[in-house]
Parts: sequence; C-alpha cells; structure tokens
Amino acid sequence: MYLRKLRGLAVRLTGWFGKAQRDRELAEELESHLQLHIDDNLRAGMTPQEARRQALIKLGGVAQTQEAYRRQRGLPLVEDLWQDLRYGTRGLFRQPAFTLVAIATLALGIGANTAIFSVINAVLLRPLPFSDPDRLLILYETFKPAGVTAISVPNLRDWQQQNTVFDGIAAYESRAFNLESGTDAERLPGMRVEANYFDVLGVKPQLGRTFLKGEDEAGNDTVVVLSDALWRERFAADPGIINKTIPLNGQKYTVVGVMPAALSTILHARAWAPLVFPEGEKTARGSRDYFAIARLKPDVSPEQAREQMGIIAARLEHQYTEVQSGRGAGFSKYEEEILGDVRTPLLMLMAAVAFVLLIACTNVANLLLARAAGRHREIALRMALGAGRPRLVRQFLTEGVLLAVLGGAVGVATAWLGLDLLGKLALAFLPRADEIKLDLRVLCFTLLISLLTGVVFGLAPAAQALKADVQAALKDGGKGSAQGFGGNRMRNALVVVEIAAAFVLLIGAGLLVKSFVKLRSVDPGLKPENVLTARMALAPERYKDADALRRFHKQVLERVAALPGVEAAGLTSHLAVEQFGTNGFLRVEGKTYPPNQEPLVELRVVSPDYFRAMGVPLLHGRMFDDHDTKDSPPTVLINETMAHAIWPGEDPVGKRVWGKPIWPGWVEVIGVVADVKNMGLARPPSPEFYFNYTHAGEGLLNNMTLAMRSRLESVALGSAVRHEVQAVDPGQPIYNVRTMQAVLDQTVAGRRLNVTLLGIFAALALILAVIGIYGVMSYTVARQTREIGIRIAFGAQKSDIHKLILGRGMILAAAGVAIGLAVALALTRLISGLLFGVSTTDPLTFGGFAVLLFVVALVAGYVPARRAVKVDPMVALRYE
Amino acid sequence: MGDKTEVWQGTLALMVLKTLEAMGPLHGYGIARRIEQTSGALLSINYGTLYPMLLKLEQEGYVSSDWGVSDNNRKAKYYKLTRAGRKQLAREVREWELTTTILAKFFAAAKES
Repeated sequence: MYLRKLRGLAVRLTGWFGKAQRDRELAEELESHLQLHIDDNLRAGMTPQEARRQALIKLGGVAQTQEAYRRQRGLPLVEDLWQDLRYGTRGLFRQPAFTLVAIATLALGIGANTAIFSVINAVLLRPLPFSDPDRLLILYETFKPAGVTAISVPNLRDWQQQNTVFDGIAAYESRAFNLESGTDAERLPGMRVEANYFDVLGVKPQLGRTFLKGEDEAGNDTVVVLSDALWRERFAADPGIINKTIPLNGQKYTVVGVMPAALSTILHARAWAPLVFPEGEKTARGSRDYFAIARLKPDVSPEQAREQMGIIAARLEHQYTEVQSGRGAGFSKYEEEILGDVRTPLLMLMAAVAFVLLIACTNVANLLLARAAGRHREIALRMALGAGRPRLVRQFLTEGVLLAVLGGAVGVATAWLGLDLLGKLALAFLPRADEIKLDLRVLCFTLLISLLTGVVFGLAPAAQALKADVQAALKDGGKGSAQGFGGNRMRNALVVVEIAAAFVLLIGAGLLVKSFVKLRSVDPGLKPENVLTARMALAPERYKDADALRRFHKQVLERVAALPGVEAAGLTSHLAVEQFGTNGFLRVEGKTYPPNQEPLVELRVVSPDYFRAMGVPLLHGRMFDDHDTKDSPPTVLINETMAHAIWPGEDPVGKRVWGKPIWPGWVEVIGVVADVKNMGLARPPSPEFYFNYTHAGEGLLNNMTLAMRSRLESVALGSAVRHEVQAVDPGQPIYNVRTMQAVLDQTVAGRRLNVTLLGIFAALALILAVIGIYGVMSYTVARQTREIGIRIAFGAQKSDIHKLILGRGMILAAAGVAIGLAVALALTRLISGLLFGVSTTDPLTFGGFAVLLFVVALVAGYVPARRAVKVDPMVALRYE
Repeated sequence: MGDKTEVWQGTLALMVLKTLEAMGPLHGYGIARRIEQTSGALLSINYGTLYPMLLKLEQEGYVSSDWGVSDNNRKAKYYKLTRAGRKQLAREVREWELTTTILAKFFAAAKES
C-alpha cells in the first residue's frame, strides 16, 4: 500500500515535466469524452446544441476538470507556491510605488524589532557565562529595618562552616587597582575575591589558573588574574604573560591567569586579586563589609537553602544577641543582581517596537486592502476559471509573506547598521552590550516575525476575497463593488487598532519623557556649574596609614588651590549624587531608641573647603575651619534632613552623636548644611553627616575625589591637576576627570537612552499612524464621491458632508483611544519603576495624547472631505 | 465537485477498479456511464471527477492507459486493470465486505435492544 503511495508521489514529482504534452493529452481525452457523450445524447434524440450542453454540465466544466486533474498530476502545494511567488513578484514590480512604501514601512517595523531583540538576545536571553548559572546566588545579611546589608567576616565564616546546602561560598569586594607604567599609572576597576571565588562562579580561565587555596592569606596574595580586555589592551594578548609580574599598587603582582572575554562586561572588573581580610575584621561580627556568592548544591532547592540559612542565622542571633539581634541571612539569584535593573527597560522597549510593528502591519494591510479592491475583477475571473477559495487565500498570503520577507531583509540591513551605534551607547549601562550582534537566533526571530507579519496583513485582503461574489463582480465589470460594507468594516478596524497602538506608545513615551524632564529639573542641592571632579585612589601598599594619606591629600589640595583661576578645592570620600556614602546606625546623646530602631544615617568624609567647592550652602552654625585640627576634638556637619529627623524643632548645633566607625567617642555637631541629592536625583535625601577628613581613618581616605570650583576650562584644569598630583607622587594616577555637570548627566544617562529610544519609536508610530489614518480616510471618501455627489444633488449642505465625514473619523478615533486607554492603563503599571514624579495615570499625558489623536483624525478626515465637497455633483454622479 | 467527492473518494476508486475488472479495458466516459448504470439512479456523479481519480490510480500503478478506438469509431483513451490493480481490488473488496458485515451486525444489535 505505502509503496504504491510512494510510487504515486514519485510519479507526481516528475509531473512537473512535459506539462504541455500532458495538457494536450488531457484536452484530447476530455474532447473524446464529450464526443462520446454527445453521440449518446444525439442518439437519445437531443438537438446538437442541447446534446453538447448536457454533456458539458454532466462533466462539471472543462476548466474545472483540467484544474483538478493538474492538481492530481503534480505537487500542487509546491507548484502553487512557485506560481504565487512569480505572480506576486510580477504584481509588486507592476506597482513600484506601492511596493516601496510597503517595504519601507515593514523595514522600519521589522528593523526596530530586530535591533531591540538583538539587545535582549545578547543581554537577557543568552545564558550567563557561568556553569549552571541558575544555581548561582548572591548572599547577604538581612536586617529588619534596613533590608539588605553586607556580611561580616565572622558571620561569613560561620555560614561557610555550618551550611550543607552550598557547594561553596566566596566573599568578594569591589576594589580598584593602580597599574603603574613608567611615570603614569592606570586605574583598574577590579575585585578582591576569596580563593574559591572562580570555582563558585563556575568559570575557567582561558589561560593559566585561578587562585589557589591559601593565596587569600596575608603574604601570599600578590597574585593577579587579568580580564581578557586588560590582557589584550595592555599586554598585547601575550600568552607568555603567565608568571610574569606587573606593578600593581606599588607592589609586584604575579599574573597567574587570564579570564575569558565574556566575563569583562558582566563583572565590571579588569583584574582580580585575592581578598585578605584585615586582622581586625576577623573577629568584628558587627563590621559588615562584604558580599558573597554561593553555589547551590544540585540536589538542594532554594527553599531548603533558605530554611537552613534561617536556622544558622537564628543560632547566631541567639549566640551573639548584642550585634546580631534582628539580623538574618538572605540570598537572591545572582542573575537578578546582574540583570535585574535592565530587564524592565529592555522589555518595555521590546513592547514598544512590537507596537510599532503592529502599526506598520495595519498600514500595509490597508494598502493591500485597497489594492485587493482594485483587483476584484481579476479575483472573480480566477474563481470562475476554477481557482478554489483556499487557493486564492493562499495567493494573498504568499503575496503578504513575500512583501514581509522583503521588508524583513531591508529591516535586518537597517538594524545591522544601527546596532553598532546602539551597542556603543548602551555599553555604559548594559552588561554584555559589547556582545550585541546579529546572530542566528536574531535572524531566526526576524524571519519568524516577518512571516507572522506577512500572514497577519495578508489575511485582511484574503478574508475579503473569501467573501467575494463572483457573479456580481463579473457583472459589475470591476467597477468597485469591493466597496461593500465588509471592506469598510475591516479598514475601520485597522484604523482603530492603529490609533490604539499609537496611543499606548505615546503614553509610554510621554510618561518617560516627563519623568526625565522632572528629573533633570531636580535641584541637586549643589551648584555643578564650573566644578571639575577627579578621582584618586591611593594604594594601601604605598600609603600605609592615615597620616601618609593625609599628607598626600594636604599637599595636593594646597597645590591645586594655588592654581590660578581655582576658587576652591575640596575632597570627598564619596562623590556627591553618584556614590552612596557608607551608612550605619547612629547613637544620639540624650536620646534613647527602641532596639534596632536607631536612625540610619549616611556618612561622608570631606575636607573643609569641599562645601565651598561644590556650592553647598551652610544653613546654620559654622563650617569646618582652622579650629578643626588633628588634635582638636572631632566635629561633624549634618544635612537638613538629619537635623529635622533627629532634632525636630530643636537646634542641633552643640548636640553630640557617637562617632563610630570613624571616631570612638562622642562628636559635636557644629553646623547644618543644605541637603544634597546624594542618593541619586530620583531619590529623596537621606539623613547624612559629614566628617572632617582630619580625623578619618585610612579606610575612608584612600579613594577620595577632588572637587574644584574654577573659571578655567575643564581640559586645561584637568591636565594642570594631573601635573600637580604627579609632582606630589609620580606614580599616582587621577582618573574620571569630569565636570560635575557631566557626573549629574551620567547618573541619568541610562534613562536618557531609554527615553530617547522610546521617543523615537513613539514618533515613528505616530507618523505611521497618521499616514495610515489619512490613507484610509481619503480612500474611503474617494470611494464615496458618488454618494456625496448624490447627497449634494439632493440639497445637502457642504457642512453636512463635512460633518458626515469628520464624524466618522471621530468615531474611529474615540474607539481607538478607548481601547488604547485600557491597554495603556494595564501596561504603564509595569513601568512604574521607571517613572519619576509622574503617576502612571498622569491625566495630562493621557488627556494630551488623546486630544492629539483626535486632532490627527480630524485633520485626516478634513482634507479629503474638503476635496469631496468641491466636486461638481454632475461629475461625481458620473464618476466611476 | 464538492463534498461528495471527498466522501466518495475511496469508494469511487473501488468502483472504478471493479468496473474495469468486470468490463475489461474501458474509456473514461464508459466507466462513468457504467458506474451510474450499475448504481441505478442512486448515484449521480460529475463525470469530470473521474479523471483525476483515474490519474491517481495510474500514478499508483493500479491501472494503465492507452489510446484506442471506440465502438463508434471515436479515438479514446482506454484504461485497464494491472496485476497490482487486481490484487488491490481483491484486498479492498475483502475489507469492504468485512466492514459491511460488522456494521450489519451492529445495526441488527441496535434494533434488538
């Protein structure tokens, strides 16, 4: 049986050949059939005409039989596809304007989708370059009021020893290194890690080895693992680098390994060295400074791990009540740590481009509908000649897909051109942005959405073709009976979809733009104009104690302040707005708080002139001045928020707080300064106090940022400062030399990119929607010229006609806006985290864009309406 | 054309084969007439549907065709059963008989209860 079927298939495959011969043969066979039948009919006494007619009726049509026969002869699916493609291509060439517009529209939609999907593919979809990244966790301590805190060394050790749920726990700390070369030095963002860190991470070096057990103990730690980028840029990818030494932080470090490239943009580290815990921290259970990664054992579920860590933490809390009260242990997926912040904006952009594509689709569907209406007679003719309806639908779908694939090809080319730029722009905020490229998966995605797109907008004219009435169309002579209600309904539906999609996109972009504008107009609390900042990181190996650090800083400050044009120069341990300070719970003299409810305050170490340099005004009391020396009792300045939070209605000046971790004793508040938006422009200021650097320990002094107020041009000042620093210490680099305005800009740069992209997509959507709406309105009106002519002939006023046409536009706009409103309300909630100072239902944004779309619909209707009423009724009546 | 062919596809093939077995080589028109006559007035088919069917049977090797001359001197294409066709016919007849026997029993059983 099956063999026979196979044989049939084989014969049909060869059915492609010798078509003409076979067609002739069938024609002869059918002719002989008819002759035989006619002979019989004549014998039965019919007239010759009647005999032939009856024979034909009984046969069921020569053309239909031939068509059915042909389908049995070859492989109709393949043949039809080929035929449709050829036919479709010819059709596209015949109408180049239509084709170009359709392809360009689709290329925009598909190109934007391809570009954003490549980003999502590179950043979110591809697995992280760790083995089994799902089991990789980030560990932290929890604390009831503050949430997440770092881990202290004794707690870390207890966790490591007591747990049975992890394959390993490894602490790490972000720490930069100074890589020296000749008289200059480069600042390397890097990490200090426990020796087992890379094993827990599950990454093998591309060259050499990672750290050995014991290398994270004092004296063994001058080994370093390089990132691929550093290895290539500074060491020319020399494979002989292993076991060579490089000058790092004033010491010789032996290179033991090079990590694979994939790691660089995820961990923001150019070098890794072993983490050696300072002696003092090994027993200080309350000194929480580290985070850790951990790898879940394969047979342990996160719930089991959570349960056990809870038990261990409870035991520690019980054992060391004084420092552990209210403290627990927690973890989350490491993936969330790396990708959590970028997921929402990326998915938002993906949704945005999907809407753009939807609008592009509706536009092309409209074009195809109009085109199909013009082809009505052709379709009727083909049906009369034996083409089945499924066959016609397939023809339309093929044409749609053909267009979509062409659009997709152009779109991919466009996306490819734009990707490089996008990758560069995104590099600063997106992990793995350097890996954005058009790979196979992206191309598959594009092909898929192209096909889908083709089917979606190919279906519209196909559905219309299905309803076609052959008889009517042929009789009508193709004079536009396509203008049935069905066609109109579909066109109207497309306009409604278009308006709804554009509305949603405009709302999203509007909310984000408004947030961004609000954010930019936030008063940072300092005066960024004419301020230049530069960071210095002093290696602890070279500057062993606080005095050495202070000596260096004092000299630099004096030299920089003496530069002509510099009005004030100051230092800060944490750069305003960009960096958080260190925080801790505060003891206040004369106040008692319930356990664990002491105020949480931020702390920064600054030099006396810092406030003048940054333009932060003193509100009350006095600034740091010459009275504050190394030997005088330490003093602090507090911000306004702290003054209100801790001493509401009281004068804080003269009050005392416990100076830990900087000073083991009470310190006096000498003044109140204005709030600075130090937690970022989008967040309210926290209670904060400033410690004079004269009294600070080395831990807070080796990563200071210089801030200078001057009238000098920033590049010139930057090189002058570099020169002065080199004069104090030739091996000491300065880096991140930026104006304060640039620092502020950079804190919102990620948002800026989001806003820009979404703005572009929304503008694109609006333009496409305007074109689409106008197209449909003018098409519909043109089709109704005759009706309008009749109305005018019967005495309708121009204003009535206007009302009729504009009213229809308004109804469509209202429907579109209503649907868009519902969708927008559902979707804006998802991006609430990206908004600032704007509610997700901001009435101004919603109302404004609704009005805009009504105006668009009004104008789109007005222009064709004007044209319609100008037409002479006599001409209109004869029209068509 | 239409639904009827789809329902009768398999049956029609069987009828064509049976007709050729009973009548020997025959042209398309002859097969069509014969099927109509045999079924009495019960079956009315579009003759056109027969040709794709004949082609299918030929592709599967159950019939072969050749041009010949009809009784009243018309040139016509004659179809005849091949050996494979004979075997196929026998097999299908067996299956049909079995099916009808089973169904007959079912109908009888349904009547009784």
